[in-house]
Amino acid sequence: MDSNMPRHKVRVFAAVALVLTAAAYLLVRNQPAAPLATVEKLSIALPDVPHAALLHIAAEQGYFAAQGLDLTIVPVTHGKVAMEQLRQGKADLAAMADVVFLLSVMRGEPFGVAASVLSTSYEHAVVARRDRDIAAPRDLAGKRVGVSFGTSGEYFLWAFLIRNKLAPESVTLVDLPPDQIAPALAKGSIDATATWSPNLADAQAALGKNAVVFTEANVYTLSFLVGGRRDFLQAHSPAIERLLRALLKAEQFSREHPDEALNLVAKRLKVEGKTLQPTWKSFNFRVDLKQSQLITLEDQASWAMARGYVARRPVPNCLPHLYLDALLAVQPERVSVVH
Amino acid sequence: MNIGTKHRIATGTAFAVIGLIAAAIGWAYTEFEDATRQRQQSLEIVQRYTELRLVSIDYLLNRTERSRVQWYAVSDRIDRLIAVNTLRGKEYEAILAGLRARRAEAPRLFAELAEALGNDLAGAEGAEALQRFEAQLVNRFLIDQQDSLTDVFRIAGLATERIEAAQRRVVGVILAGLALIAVITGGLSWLIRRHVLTPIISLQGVTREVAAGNLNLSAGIDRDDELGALSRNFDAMTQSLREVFAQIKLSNQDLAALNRELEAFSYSVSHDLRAPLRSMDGFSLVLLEDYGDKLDEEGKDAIERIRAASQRMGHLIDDLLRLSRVTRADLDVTRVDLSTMARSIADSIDREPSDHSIEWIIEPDLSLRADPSLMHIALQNLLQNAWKFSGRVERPVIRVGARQHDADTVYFVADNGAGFDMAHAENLFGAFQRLHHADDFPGTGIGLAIVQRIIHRHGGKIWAEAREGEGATFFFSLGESENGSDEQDHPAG
Repeated sequence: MDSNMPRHKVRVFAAVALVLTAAAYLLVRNQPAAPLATVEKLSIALPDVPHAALLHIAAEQGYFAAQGLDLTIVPVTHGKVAMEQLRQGKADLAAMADVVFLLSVMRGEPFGVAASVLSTSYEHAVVARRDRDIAAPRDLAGKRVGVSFGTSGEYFLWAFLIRNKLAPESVTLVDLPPDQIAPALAKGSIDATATWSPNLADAQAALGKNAVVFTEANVYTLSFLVGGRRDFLQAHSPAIERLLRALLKAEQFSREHPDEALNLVAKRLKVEGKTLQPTWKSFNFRVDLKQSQLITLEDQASWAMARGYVARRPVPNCLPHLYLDALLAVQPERVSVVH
Repeated sequence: MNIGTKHRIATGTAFAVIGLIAAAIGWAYTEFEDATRQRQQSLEIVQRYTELRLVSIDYLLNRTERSRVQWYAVSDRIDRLIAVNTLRGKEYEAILAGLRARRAEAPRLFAELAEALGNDLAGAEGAEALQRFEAQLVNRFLIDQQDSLTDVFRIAGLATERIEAAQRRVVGVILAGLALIAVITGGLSWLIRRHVLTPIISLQGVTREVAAGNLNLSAGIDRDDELGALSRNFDAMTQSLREVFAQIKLSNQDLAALNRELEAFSYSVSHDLRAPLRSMDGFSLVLLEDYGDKLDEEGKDAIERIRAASQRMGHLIDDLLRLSRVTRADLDVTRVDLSTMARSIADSIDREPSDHSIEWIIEPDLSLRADPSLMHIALQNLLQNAWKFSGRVERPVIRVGARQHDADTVYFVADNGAGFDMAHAENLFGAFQRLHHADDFPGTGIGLAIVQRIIHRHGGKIWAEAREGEGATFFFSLGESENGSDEQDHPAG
């Protein structure tokens, strides 16, 4: 400072500087901390499905890198494949529907869930052929229903039948890959199907006016989960926390810019934005771990045992398979699981 | 722009800023109050959902009519509470939409559950399917309530976030306001210094120089405001002063030349007048001594009168010369012991042959700063004056003393002699002015004029108080010369 500067000027500058510094401090003190200098490496098996939108958005927007994560994405077609990649050790993490995760847990595999990144109650429906005398849900009794075994579609059908006071055994289940369902329905080899979007739209389109659609929002709220080996999650808690922070950022982006988020995901999935539009509105993109998810998992456990996917035994305790620590460290209010 | 306009703009700006800050704080505080109200509403919804869960579990366990009625009652209250949007934002609206959707389904679910729970499934056909249905309903029922409660807590959290944001906004507004005030204060300080203080300091320096006698300086502040006008007026004033002083200087030079001429003339005249006077007196004496036996008494008396008149005229000329010297003499101011000086003069008066004895009362330690020679002349005149006018009283007393009058020391010479009528006091100090007849009290009437001139030369003043037949008191003070230090000369010297 100029030593010849008049004293009153020094005082004025000092007062202004003091006030501005205090203001700047108070304004920035609530800002998030800068990314850590160290870079954590992770890999994730990521299905090309809109349910994994938050992961796609975070990758596309650079939120992982901003959190100091070097995330390698292993692209897969759907959740079951992602789980297989995880099982084989080809990825540290995987994203999948809750049913896929539950079946793995029921088989005794040591996986845990770090967070749910989406929930939806309007994803599944039953599409039936009107010409097979199916006008109401109860008319499904005795019919051949095509589903992809071991998927959320099959679990939805189970819950749907129960909701309509039908014994699950009252229908004949036909195992079909998701892409074969619409042709089979059109051909008539099955009378109905329970599946998810966008296969749902394909099935409906294949039948045209012959289609009858039954929805039931109250039977199943699907959760799309991000998980990994439990020991891995515990050993890499800081990296998982960074991953969750990036996903929370993506959640904020999807909430504040829904159209942009949809187009961004459509681009990643190489589909038209309008293709995603019908289901997108029913998606609740939110990073959390809820008690209701735990209850759903246990209900799915009952289903899995009833379907013979695993041996009958008491409903397992799924709580140890929820890895709460990372989300509790990042945003504890996102965890409503009683723990 | 003049300073008055700037002042009005600055004041207006300051009030506008204060108003702006007050409005911003008011707005932020309103936000804070709204958010607080919303949080209270959210917490009320939380409470109702907690009650709903309690009566739901009660109903699932006991299936009582009371718990059923309570379930509907609290459901109704919740529906009313969530019917109104109390917050803004997409997240809040999405949560509220989910809550409303679940609430819309809840009565149907509850009715189905009540019906299912009322069925006796033991041994019934399809009992397993119905049991699964019942379990599914219970699960769904509990999940919905859990999800709703979680969502309501999220709404409460959003309201809390809004409170925190409002608090931050209040702090931010206050800090921004303070920063703005600081900047404006700094700006005003700079403007005042640049446009007011600096010109005033400059003007102050110029006035100091002018006061010290340097009339050639000019303020030269070329501004279109009050200070510029003041500067121009000041420069015009110094210009006038320069012209007036130049005029006075010329007049003084003329006056000094005239004085010198007049003094030379007076001195010359006085000297020139002495010679014929001495001739008149001398030849009159010759006439008396050499031709006195040829003159009758009337002739001798005429010659005596001629001699007395010429001697008196000689005294007048001497007094004129003394007065002239007093006026022209240089002052040599120093500390004068007035008591000692008065005592010395009194002693010399006492030594003169006289038929009356004076009582002298002279205060000790009277001291003042004056020219000793002139002060001696003044004091001698005053004491001789007092001596002369107290010659006819039985017990004449002459006092010399001092007393304080405000900040000044006033010296006095008092007698109990003839005194005078105060109606003629203004003539007292005029040259050759007399208040008594010369036959009663002889003298030329020049003494008090000399005293007054000496006191005036010292920057002082002199006045008298008297009553006829009761004596007179002459007061004098010396003003600045008396107040100076001993080491300093009289300023006029």
